[in-house]
Amino acid sequence: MKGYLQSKIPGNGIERCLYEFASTLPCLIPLIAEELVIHIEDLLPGLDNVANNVDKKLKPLDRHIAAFITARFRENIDPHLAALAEPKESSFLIGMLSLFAYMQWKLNNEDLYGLSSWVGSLLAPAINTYYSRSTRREIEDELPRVIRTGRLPELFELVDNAENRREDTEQYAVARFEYAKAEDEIQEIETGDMSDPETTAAAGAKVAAMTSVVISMCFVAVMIVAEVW
Amino acid sequence: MARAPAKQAPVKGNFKKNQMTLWLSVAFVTVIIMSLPTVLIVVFGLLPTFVAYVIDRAKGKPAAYCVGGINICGVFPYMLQLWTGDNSMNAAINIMTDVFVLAVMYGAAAFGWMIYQSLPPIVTTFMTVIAQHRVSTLRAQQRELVDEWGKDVSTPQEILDLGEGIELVDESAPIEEPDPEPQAAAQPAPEPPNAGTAETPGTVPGEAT
Repeated sequence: MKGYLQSKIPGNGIERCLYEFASTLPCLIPLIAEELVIHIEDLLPGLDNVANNVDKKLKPLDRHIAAFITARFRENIDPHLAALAEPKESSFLIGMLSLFAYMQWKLNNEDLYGLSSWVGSLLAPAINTYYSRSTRREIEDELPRVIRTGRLPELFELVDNAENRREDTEQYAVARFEYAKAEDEIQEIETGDMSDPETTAAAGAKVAAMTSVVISMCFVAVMIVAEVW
Repeated sequence: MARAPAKQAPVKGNFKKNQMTLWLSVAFVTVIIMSLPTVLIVVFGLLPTFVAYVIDRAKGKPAAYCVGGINICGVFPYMLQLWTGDNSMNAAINIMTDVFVLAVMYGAAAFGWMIYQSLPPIVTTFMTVIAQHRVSTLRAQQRELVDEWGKDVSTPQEILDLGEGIELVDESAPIEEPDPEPQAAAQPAPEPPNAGTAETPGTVPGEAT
């Protein structure tokens, strides 16, 4: 209990102690107080029920709910909690979505249309963590369809697909390399030999000399051939 | 005790140069003896080329090549005439005293000089246009990259890392080290969940236990 109290990570603290001590205590957050959520299986449906009547700017996960989940959900959710502790909002949102998705899958909750819509409306910062604008647009275009399925795992898969993340990061690195390469070439053109009048004049003189020599050789060859023929 | 004067090392380059000059002189004299008419036409016909060689201070003597090339075009037909016809001093003198012939030879040299004067600016302009076109193409590519990836794509990684560190410090968050990759913090969950089917629970986060 001392460890719970001292921990600053969401899911611990005094709230965790409260739910650990009183195993029949319902989740105390006012948002779903009326739903009287005592068992972990009822948490997501409870949030789903209130989803249509709350301000969508509010987050459906706070320290109370996190502590309630930690105390009642007997699975390893440390990675999710670590994500919730991240200072960035995008990390928090992805951690929240992954936690809810995991719970829905593990607890076999039915489709949660309201909660999907609620969480989906908050995901803009998470989507914006992709570097590629076109990837962001694709996700945003796909988002309404996935929200309508009511499946949070699918929503998480859409927003934080590992393969998409990897490709995005790799392509971003390539794009930065290409930008830097183009910049180097521009600098070389603008400040290098190509922009030096003396160098270009020398190159022009060489071209003139080459042209003259080639004309001369062709002329002499033609004259000789004409004479021999 | 007086020091013995240091022996001068034989200069290899000078020796070779002198030897080459000697051989060239021998060859020149031989050519003069064997085909004096041709030498006469070459010496007088290619005078503008020799002048261009002397006055051209540019590296590689492009003016001499330019004038010489076209000058040869003016001289060669008369050399050919000499070789295929009467190859005597009289014939050579007849050729060289013809005003029309001189006009052709020196006119050709003038044309060569004209090429030398007019072609470099054209080449310079052409190169400048190509360079500008290349620059505009590269700028367009950069614009496309910025449109697709945002302004950060133009920022060096070191500066991005620095900005990331400053941001984290300002937030006074419980983070000990600045995150070098902005992506890393946004991807804390080790594995994404699968599509939610209980039959294939392969990649759900926290599935370790």
